[in-house]
Amino acid sequence: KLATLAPEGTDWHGMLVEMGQEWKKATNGKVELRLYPGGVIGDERDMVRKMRIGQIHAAGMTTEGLSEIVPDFTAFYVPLAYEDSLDVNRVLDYMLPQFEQKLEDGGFKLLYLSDLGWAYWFSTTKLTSPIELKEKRLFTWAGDFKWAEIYKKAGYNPVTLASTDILSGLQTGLIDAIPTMPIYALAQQSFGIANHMLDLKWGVLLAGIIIDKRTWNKIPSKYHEELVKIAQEISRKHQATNLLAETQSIDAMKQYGLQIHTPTEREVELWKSEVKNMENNLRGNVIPKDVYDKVIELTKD
Amino acid sequence: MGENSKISHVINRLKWGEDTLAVVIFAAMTLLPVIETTTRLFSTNGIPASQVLVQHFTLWIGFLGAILATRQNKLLALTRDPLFDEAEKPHLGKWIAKVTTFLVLVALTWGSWELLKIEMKYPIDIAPNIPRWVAQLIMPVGFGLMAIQVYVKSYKKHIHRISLIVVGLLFSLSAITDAIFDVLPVIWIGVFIILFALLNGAPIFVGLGGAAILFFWADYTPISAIPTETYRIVVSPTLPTIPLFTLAGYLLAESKASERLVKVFKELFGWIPGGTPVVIVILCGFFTALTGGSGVTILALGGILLPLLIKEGYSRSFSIGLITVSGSLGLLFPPSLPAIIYGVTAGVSVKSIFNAGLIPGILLLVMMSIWAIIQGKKEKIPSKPFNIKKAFQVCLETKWELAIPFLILFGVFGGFTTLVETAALTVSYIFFVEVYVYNDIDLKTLPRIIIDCATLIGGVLIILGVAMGLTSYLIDAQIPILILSWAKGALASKYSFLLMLNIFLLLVGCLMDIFSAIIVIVPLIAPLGVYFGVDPVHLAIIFIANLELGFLTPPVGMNLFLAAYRFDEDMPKIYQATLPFFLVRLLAVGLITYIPVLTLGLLR
Ligand code: NA
Ligand code: NA
Repeated sequence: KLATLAPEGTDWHGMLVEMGQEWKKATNGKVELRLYPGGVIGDERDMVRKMRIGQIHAAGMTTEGLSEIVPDFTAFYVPLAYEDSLDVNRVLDYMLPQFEQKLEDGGFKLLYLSDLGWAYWFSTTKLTSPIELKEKRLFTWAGDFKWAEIYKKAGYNPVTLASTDILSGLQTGLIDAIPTMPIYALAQQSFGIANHMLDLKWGVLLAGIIIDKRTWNKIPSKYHEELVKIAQEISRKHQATNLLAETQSIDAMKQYGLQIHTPTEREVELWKSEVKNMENNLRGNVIPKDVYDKVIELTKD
Repeated sequence: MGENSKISHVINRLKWGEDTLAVVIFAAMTLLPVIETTTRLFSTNGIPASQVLVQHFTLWIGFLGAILATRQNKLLALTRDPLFDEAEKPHLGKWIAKVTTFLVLVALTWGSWELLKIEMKYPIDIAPNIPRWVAQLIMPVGFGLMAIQVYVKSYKKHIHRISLIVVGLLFSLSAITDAIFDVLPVIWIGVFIILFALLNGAPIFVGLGGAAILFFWADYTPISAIPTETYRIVVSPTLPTIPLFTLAGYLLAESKASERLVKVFKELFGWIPGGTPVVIVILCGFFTALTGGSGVTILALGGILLPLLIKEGYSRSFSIGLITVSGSLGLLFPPSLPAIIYGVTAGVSVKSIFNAGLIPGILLLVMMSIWAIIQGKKEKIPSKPFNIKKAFQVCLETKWELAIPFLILFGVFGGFTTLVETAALTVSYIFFVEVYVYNDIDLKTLPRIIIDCATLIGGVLIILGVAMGLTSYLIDAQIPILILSWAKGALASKYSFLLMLNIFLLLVGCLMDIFSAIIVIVPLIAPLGVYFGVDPVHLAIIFIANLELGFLTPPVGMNLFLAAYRFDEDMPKIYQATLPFFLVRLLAVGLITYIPVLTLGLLR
């Protein structure tokens, strides 16, 4: 039983279906994957809890849920640190062994991990500098108190909401800015109101597949290597489509009136110094100190 | 004797502790969002993790309320007689109901304890220095205390009570249960026993929980799957609105607001031929909306409205029918509890549901009013002239309460507050108005009101939480996918789907209470709605409007019970009185279902 937030019909879901079929073939039908897409099992935290009690056995989840198991995954929470996939890969290459080990200690086997897409600021009016963002009310997720605190301390106006209330929050003006991935903005139609996008890679979201170790160990070990290989091959194949999906989403939204703003060099510097200001609250609070420092070191050009 | 007085001393202490905790948590739940709103408006720092704390307070108030409800024998059940009455003599049907209740509670205690152990092993903070397991502690404690209450209150004599424990021990010996599993169709027997227990007075949540336990058990899934779901639904971000709006409704119901509102609406609409019934339709819709559909309308207004109608010459049957039916009229307006629960369950924005519900809600009011006028003409009741001066005067007198719907609408649609903050502000406002402006509520009676309210909420939230466990099993077993693939073949079009939905929901309304119906059925139907191209928000309105009828459908319609209780009538009499109104409502549901623009017009 594998759960994921990705809805049926999405690329990610298709990838998992394919993986299930390949696994079945490789093990002569001994391993059969039952998928629970679209978050029917709950959000990623619920998935972690349900894997621990033994109700489900695996999950395709983002760094959001993975950081619930191993706080080191917050390495990818440092805003603006990652400028391109090379930065992501550098951090990933360095940290993957420790991710795998710590997941193992937490009772999970990591099958693979790679980047899913970039998060940008979407807002109801033009937004290019942090000063403009400070005049807006920005969405933070109700499930996590730390981000709201960090934004507050840095002088922003965060409003904590359930994810389902983003659209109506934008409609009534309760919030007017959200950091999100273009594919989400398109799927949730939030770009219809938040129709300004700041072309600055604010954050990165990675996604991977983990499996409960008790379940993994029940699968004869002669299959282990093959199963991992299949998962990684399929995901590599899909990684290219992920990046393409981002461009396609942005193009589609542009046709419906999305305006894209490119920040000037000065504005980029302003954003960077904002993040620098947040450092005290991020480092050692949300993100472990050593992880934070390593990310900064590895992504420094 | 000494032993007994020691026990009763401990029990009294426990009672005091539960009551005090309920009052304190309610106060905190109201204050935190108010502080949050204020700090946001003035851009200062509020209390860290305020919202997450409020969400977890909902869990605590839910379980405390459930304990209170168990203590007072007020858990919602299919029968009117209380089951746990310290009976002198065992009666077989009731014995089975009691044993089932006890076993389900023990199993849920154990399941929550298993969950808690895992959370303690992997602690995560939900707020500064508060690990999640601390917040979840209330689940095993709550289920445990309920089990103890049920045990103590089952029979007067020790010897009879012991039988519950004996059966419990038998079940916990896995050797025996496994052996039984091998030879008997345990699922069918189990379902039969649960139904039998329900008919003999076991609480509704025991039926849902019992079924969930049975199915998970047969599937080798740990029972902690159920409390995991209870936790998930009860701490969801929008759910704190339920205790808050219910409290707002209780405060209104305890004040003299109802009398003032009757006066206002009589002056405003009394001139219409057949005016009083129209007044009642509008007033009840208004009051039900304000109280979130928690069922207090009939209790609070029934006593004033019935004599009013009878004095004017309407028949008793018509009058009782009208009031009973009107008690569920406002459920499409904010802050309706079913709408909130629907939004939370289906992952649809609650605000959008409220927005979409405005026109259908008004349509229902208008259709009911027209029917009332027709009936009024038939019974040849004279109307009274309109007096603008007097109308203005009563409006002025009641202005503080007339402002409440505007406050709520502003909160929901104004974009200054979240739904939870709106609810907390409403509670604070009503508290202030009733205590300090109208002086209707004495501060000394406040704890009692809060405890009554917590008891009701506990009864509802425990059903919600446990129903979610059953839903989780259905999803686990991929039932929604099976239904979808069946429907793809069997149903030709969107309209045949909608027709099937109407009929199905009517049946569901007959068998289930509205809260568990939403929780259990929505995940099964929502994928069908997507497949047949029904807008998720339209589906929400169809669902609620259809299930509203469920409040009036025998045998489980909650309003029918409340009416029978309030007007001291037998159930068949109530069924008969509500039937004509039921048919009018059915027509309205048809319109709402097949004319989507009624719902979606305001959304675009
Ligand atoms: Na972010
Ligand atoms: Na019903």
